[in-house]
Amino acid sequence: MADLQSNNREAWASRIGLILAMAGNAIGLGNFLRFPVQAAQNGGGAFMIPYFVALLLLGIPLMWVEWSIGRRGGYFGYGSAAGAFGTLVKSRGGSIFANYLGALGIAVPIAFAIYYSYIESWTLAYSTFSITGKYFGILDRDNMLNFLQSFQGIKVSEHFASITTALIFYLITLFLNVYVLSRGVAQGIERLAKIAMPTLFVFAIILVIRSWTLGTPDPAKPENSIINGFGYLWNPDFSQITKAKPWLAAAGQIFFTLSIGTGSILTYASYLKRKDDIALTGLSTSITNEFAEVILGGSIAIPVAVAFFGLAETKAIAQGGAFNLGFAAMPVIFQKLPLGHLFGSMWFLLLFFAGITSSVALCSPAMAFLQDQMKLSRQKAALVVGTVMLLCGLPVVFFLGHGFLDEMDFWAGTFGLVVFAMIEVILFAWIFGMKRAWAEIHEGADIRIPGVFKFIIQFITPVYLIGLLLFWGIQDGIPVLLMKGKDAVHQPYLWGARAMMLGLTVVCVILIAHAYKRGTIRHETATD
Amino acid sequence: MEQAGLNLGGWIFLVTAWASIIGVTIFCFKRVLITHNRKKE
Repeated sequence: MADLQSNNREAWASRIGLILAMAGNAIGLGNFLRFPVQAAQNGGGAFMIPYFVALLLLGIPLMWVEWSIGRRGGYFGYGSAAGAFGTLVKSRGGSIFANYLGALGIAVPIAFAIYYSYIESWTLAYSTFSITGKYFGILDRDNMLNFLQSFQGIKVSEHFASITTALIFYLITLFLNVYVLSRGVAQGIERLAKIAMPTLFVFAIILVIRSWTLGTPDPAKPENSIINGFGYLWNPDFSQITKAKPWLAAAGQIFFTLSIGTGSILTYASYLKRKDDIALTGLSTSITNEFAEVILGGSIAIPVAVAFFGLAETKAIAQGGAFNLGFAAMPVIFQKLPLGHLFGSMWFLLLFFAGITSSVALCSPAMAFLQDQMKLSRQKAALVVGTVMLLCGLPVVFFLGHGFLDEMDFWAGTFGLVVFAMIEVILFAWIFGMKRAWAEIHEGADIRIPGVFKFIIQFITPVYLIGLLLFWGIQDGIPVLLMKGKDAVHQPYLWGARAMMLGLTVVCVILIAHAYKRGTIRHETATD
Repeated sequence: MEQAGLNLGGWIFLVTAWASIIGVTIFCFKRVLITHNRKKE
């Protein structure tokens, strides 16, 4: 691998760097916070059945699809779906239509990155608070939740007079993201992954060992033990998996954890060469993510919470969601541990590394489009992306209490991913054609993918996705769309979030039209 | 509310999930190394 492709686009410097960067893209806050909560809420060990089914029928096939579209797009000089999608369609009209659909592959990830980077900044802040002992002395969850909410500017307390601290950490996080992006693929993203990923794994392994060796922290309460924590997470409750909820939760988790449908895998794969393997490399990055999620992520937060809070309270924590676990329960636990400052800082730094490797990936489709189609320099593109993130990120920061972030999370971080993944798989398996698609996946492949995946990609994955969209649409989509149960005070802010996401998509469409005018997006199939 | 640790089902799910993930991880990275070395030659 060299730093430049034959068409003068940037390229990965090494295969291990690529695997680490792709794994960094996938491994995020969801691995350590969202997964254990989802597993605990949806049948414990039995959740693993829908989880692995979703991994095999959705996650891994879609990952190969996105890698293939990305590498093909990169060969033609496109680093985002706007351009790459067009190379899959024979007719000129169809190709243009596909490229306009590719606007979602830029708008959805950038909207995702806008609110994700704010959450990421909390982990950086809490890492600092752990070292300085800012939250030390708050020994119950309710007060720790107050601490979090006053940090976020939702409430006023003696801990924070205003939202300034959160804003400062947000700006630092944004700056770090823009800096990495401005350094480029090999010197920025790859170098970050080579530092952040090994550090993340070392921190996680240390925390897992600490978790396993906790035993029964309070001998007066023998039921509060680490083994009961593992029991809560893994003992199967088969009555749960007869319902639709765990199947939807598992599919959502697989999307979230593998970064499928964000367009970021597509962009990273566009920096490969035509004959570079994607079958084995893609599988390696997915399994690295699963290692981090199931083995490491499943061994820290929930088992430790049971050991310190007991089963009943941990169930309440899990019901409260991932932030409740990560930012309210864990800081209380660290105060009860010897070297709590250190372990607390390690936990939040681990989350920060997981977050930043994902957020730079989410920004990369926009970066690639600005560089390849708008012909901006890397630095200018990073500046544009940073400015958009800042301008659109400020409402997320200031209107958090009004549900601005949650609204974006639903439309961009949940619904948008499934829609985009469905477009990808239909274009790849049905429009491009499964025969060519299968050959495309195996171009330069270091392993032969079992033939059954040909059938899965063509039939099972699209049907699974349609089913998911229908279920989500009816169960969550319509109530969210109609703002059912939302206070009238919050509704203007939620409309604001929607308008912002729509605005981002419209801007992307206009830029694609401009790229067509400039000739930086062309009809490519004839030259294939 | 008490829970008697990991029951048999819990152990089966935990060991199966971990073993399959570790197994595939070893397979993948072994193959990555083999192909990497082959290409170097």
